[in-house]
Amino acid sequence: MKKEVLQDATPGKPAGKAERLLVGTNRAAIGVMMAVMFVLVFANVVTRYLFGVSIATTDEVSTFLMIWVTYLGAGLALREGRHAAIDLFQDFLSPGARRVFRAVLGVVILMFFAALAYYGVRFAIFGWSQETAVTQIPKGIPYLAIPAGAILFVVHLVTIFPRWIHRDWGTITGLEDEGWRQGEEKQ
Amino acid sequence: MTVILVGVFGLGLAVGLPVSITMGLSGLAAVLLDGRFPALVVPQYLYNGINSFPLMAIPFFILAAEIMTAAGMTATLLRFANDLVGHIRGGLGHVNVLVSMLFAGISGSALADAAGPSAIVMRMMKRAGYDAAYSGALSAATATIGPIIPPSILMVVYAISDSRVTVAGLFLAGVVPGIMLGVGLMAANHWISYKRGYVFRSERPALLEIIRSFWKAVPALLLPFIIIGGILGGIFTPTEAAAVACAYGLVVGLMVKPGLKLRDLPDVFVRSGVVTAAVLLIVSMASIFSWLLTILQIPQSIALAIGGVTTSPGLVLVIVAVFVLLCGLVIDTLPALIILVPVLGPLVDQFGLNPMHFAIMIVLNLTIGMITPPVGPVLFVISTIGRIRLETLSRAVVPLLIVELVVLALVIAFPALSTFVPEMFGLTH
Repeated sequence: MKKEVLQDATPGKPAGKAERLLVGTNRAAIGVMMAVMFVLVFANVVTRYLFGVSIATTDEVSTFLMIWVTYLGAGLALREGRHAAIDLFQDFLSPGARRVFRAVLGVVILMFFAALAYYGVRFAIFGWSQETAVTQIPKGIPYLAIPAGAILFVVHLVTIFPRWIHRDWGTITGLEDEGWRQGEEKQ
Repeated sequence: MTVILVGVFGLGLAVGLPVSITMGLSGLAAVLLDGRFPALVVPQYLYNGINSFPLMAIPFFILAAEIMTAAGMTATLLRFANDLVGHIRGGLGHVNVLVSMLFAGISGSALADAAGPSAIVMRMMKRAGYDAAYSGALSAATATIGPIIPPSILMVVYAISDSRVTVAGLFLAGVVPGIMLGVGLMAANHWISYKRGYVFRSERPALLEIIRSFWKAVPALLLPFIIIGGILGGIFTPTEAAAVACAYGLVVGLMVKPGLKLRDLPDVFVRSGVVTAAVLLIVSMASIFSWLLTILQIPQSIALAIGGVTTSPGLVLVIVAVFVLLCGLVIDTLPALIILVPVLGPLVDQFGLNPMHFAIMIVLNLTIGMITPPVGPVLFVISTIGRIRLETLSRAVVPLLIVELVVLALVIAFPALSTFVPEMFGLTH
């Protein structure tokens, strides 16, 4: 199964069904968490000024959501080439050598996140018996963001490995979108 | 342990491993190979580094920027800037500077800023007939303005890492130096355009047209004032202010000046989530790295070394400036800040410096380091996006770099430039 996905993801080819499902689910999770985070914090401001009530749990829950967004979103950021790096050295290599070199780098990154997943799980188990300050849920729940994100990162990197080797995500995209293009068209 | 930590870090950066992963990897390698600490300190510090409510200002600033862009509010800023200064000689160059001032770099990464708004104006400049190298150089130079002018993610992170300063104080402290940078770059752009005979300019719009584009830009222009005013007035914390800014953007975009559709919203949230992940992963990974530096007493020995050279506060500022500039040459602004603030902070107490002045100087130094040839990372990004040879770009950026160094020298020499505005509002830190 994994092998098929890998072949589907060669540069230029559209993603396979499994890959689209993975990316779609991942994106949906991130979006929902960001939205809930925003609603919680904003609602707290509103209730404090309109009704004089502050909900103590919102700060803690929204912070946990932020931690989950960070780790669950790291793999998606990789797909979009958003993890800033200094590519100067690689630019000096010949295209062939660069691909070999990036393959090695990719394996190093996979090993790092695999290790992070292992220690992250142990950390979450360690934290399971303790309770968080306000909501009193097991601390292991927010701790779990790190290993979950690390495993997801490994899956993302494996599925886009050929693209990673070819640096196939164009340039880092910033705030480009229709709004700016309209401004540009005006020239 | 020091050798492993610093060695893996240096090697990782040099071979092009992402900055965030480099810091995490060197931290993990140091902990595992040294054996003095249990391996679980690694996930513990990765977690603690981002388990912070004040830090949540960052995702909300990013979300606010995405909402503004999706609602077309960013485009109104660009149009307003173009109507205002586009008709002057070197017009689009001025637009480039002004847009960076109005839409101050929200991402906290000089690299991402260089690839974002600056890159768009760079393409517009090239199309209008400016030579590619100058367009690129100016875009690199203007990318340094964002982090100084509020609201700035770098300032939020600085205030979280150093209890000597507050977010409100730093936001206000950046106002005058940011305007000085903008005015300085515009002056340089005017002079260069005059010297090289750049005559391209857009038509001078009628006054009514300027007023109209100003009116359209008002909602976007108000945003920073809502954020800063809310924080200063003690109405909300920086995190809440950032959330209110998002709500404001949604209300304006969906109802007041409809440019945003409900079906755009999922994408806005997803995109800001992905950007947040990239930024906060750096913060998370930097915290294990910077904790190990502290354990190894590296900050203390650097501070001791700098403090031992001289007893003059003025000289210390210059030494720190050179040191920070060199750091900016090799590492992106956000991770550099997280690593350097605990290293250099103690000097403030030792020499009786003003902490806000010190902070502005460090942030300015870092961002200028990012555009210093031949190794400044922002130059790489611009050279890649604009397909400009690094050597050509490096030469073109020199006059603009000189202007920025002059501004930096003034900011270092006259603390009042940073401290005057916050003190006007009764903030001493």
